[in-house]
Amino acid sequence: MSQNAFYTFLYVTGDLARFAGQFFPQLVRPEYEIREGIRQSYLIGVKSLGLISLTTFIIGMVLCMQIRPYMVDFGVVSELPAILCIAIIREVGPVLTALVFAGKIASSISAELASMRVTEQIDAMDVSGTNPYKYLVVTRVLACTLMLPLLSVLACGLALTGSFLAINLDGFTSYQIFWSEVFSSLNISDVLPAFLKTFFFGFVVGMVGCYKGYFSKTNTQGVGESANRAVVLSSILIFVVDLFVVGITYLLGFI
Amino acid sequence: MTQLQKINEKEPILSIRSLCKRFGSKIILSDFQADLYRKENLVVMGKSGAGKSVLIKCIVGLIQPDSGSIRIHGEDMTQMSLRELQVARRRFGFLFQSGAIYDSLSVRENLEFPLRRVGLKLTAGEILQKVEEALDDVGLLASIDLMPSELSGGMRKRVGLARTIILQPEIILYDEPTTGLDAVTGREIISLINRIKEKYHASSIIITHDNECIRTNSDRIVLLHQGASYVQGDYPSLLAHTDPFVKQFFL
Repeated sequence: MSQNAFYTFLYVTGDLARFAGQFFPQLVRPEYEIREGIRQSYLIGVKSLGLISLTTFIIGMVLCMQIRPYMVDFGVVSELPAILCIAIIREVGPVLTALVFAGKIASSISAELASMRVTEQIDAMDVSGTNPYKYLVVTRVLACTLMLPLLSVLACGLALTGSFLAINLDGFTSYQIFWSEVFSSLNISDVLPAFLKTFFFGFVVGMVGCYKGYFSKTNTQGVGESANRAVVLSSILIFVVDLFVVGITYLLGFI
Repeated sequence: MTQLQKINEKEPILSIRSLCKRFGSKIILSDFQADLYRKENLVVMGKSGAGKSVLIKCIVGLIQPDSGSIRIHGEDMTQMSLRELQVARRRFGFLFQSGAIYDSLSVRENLEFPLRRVGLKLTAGEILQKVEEALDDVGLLASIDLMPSELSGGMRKRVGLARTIILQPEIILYDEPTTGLDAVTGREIISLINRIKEKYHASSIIITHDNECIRTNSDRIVLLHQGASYVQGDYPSLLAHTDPFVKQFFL
C-alpha cells in the first residue's frame, strides 16, 4: 500500500467514525422522525425480502448437497441436520444475509442520498431548518439495524428449509425428524452471538451507505461511485465485524 | 409612517463585510461587501464561476467563509453556533437553481415539510390552508397531489418557490431563478418574484445572468468580479456605465 493510499484509508476511517459518532446523540435528541423511520423500515425490509429469501434458500440447498456425500462416507448422515443447523445459524445465515443486504441496501441508500446531494435537496433541508442528518441518516441507519436481524432470522429458516428439501432429493427424512434434530442441536451460545452480530451488520451497512451518499461528489459520476464504494466498504466491514464478534465469542467461551 | 420606521428602513437588514472564501489555492471571494435593505431586491451578477453561488451559500451558512462578517439585524451569522444558525435561517427562504424539491414526496408533502419542522405547532387544517395559499400564489393549486416526476422544469421551480415562501421569510435568496427555463416560463417566474415581493414585503437577493430579470426585478445591482463587489448601483446607472467590463453585461 502506498503512503498516499494509507493516508486516504486513515482519513476515511476517521471521517466515517466522526460521522457515525453523531448517530447516538442525534437519535436520542428530540424531535423524533418516527413516521420517516417506520417508512424506511418498511421500504428497507420489503426491498430486500425477495432477494434474501431466494439466495438463502438456494445456499441452504447447495450446502446440504455439498456436505451430504461426505457425511454418508463417514457414516454420520444422521448428524446432517445438526451440522447444517450450526453452519447456517452461526455463520452462513447472518453473513450471507448481511452481504446480500449490503449489495441491495447500501447501494440504494448511497445512490439516493448522493442524488439528493447533487440536486441540492440536502442543502434545501438544511436551509429550511430541518436537520438532514436526523431525517435522512438516523432513520435509515436505525431501519437497517432493526431490519437486518429480522431478515436474518427469516433467512436462516429458509436456508434450513432449503436443506430439508435437498436432503429429500436423494433420500427421505421426515419433516418432524429434521426439525427436531435441528432444534435439539441448538443452544443459546449458538443463537445469541449470531443474532446479536446482525445488529452490528445492519448498523454498518446503513452507516456506510449513508456516509458514502451524504458526502458524494456533486456530479452524476459521483452518484455511481458512491453506490459502488458503499457496497465494497460495507462488505469488507461485515467481515471485519464478524471476525471481532467471533473472536470475542471465542474469548468468552461460547465456542 | 413614523420617523422611527423611516430610520429603520434605512438600516440594512443584512450587511456583508470583508467576506473572503477560498477553496485550496483558488480565491472565490475576496473582501466582498454589500448591504440589503428592507423590501429591496438586490441583484448579484457576474460571470460564470465568479463566486455568486458560493456567496449565497455563505449567507445561509451552507458554506463557512474564511473571514468577514454577515450580519442580520446586527447579529453576525458567521460567529453563531449551529443551533443559533438554524434559528437565524428561519428568516431566510432559498430558491435553489434546480428547485431542489424532494423527489420522494408529493407537492403537498414538499410544502408541509418545513411547516411541520419549525415548531409552529399548527393544526392539520392550518397547514393545509398555508399549503393551498402558497400553491395558489404560484398558480399550482391543481397540482397539489402530483409527484415531482410528473412536473415540468418550470413547475418544479414554482413548487420550489412555493416552499420557499410558505414560512413567509424576511429575506428570500434566489439562485439563478430563470436558468434552464424557456423565455415564457422565465418571464412567469420573474413576474412571480415581483408578486411575492409585493405580497409578503420580503427583501430578496437574486443571483442571475438574465437581463430581463435584472431589468424588471432589481432595485439595486452588485457586479461581482474577482471575488469583490466591482460596482454597485441601480439598473439605469449601470446601463449608462462607461467601464467596458460593466458594459459587456448590458449589451
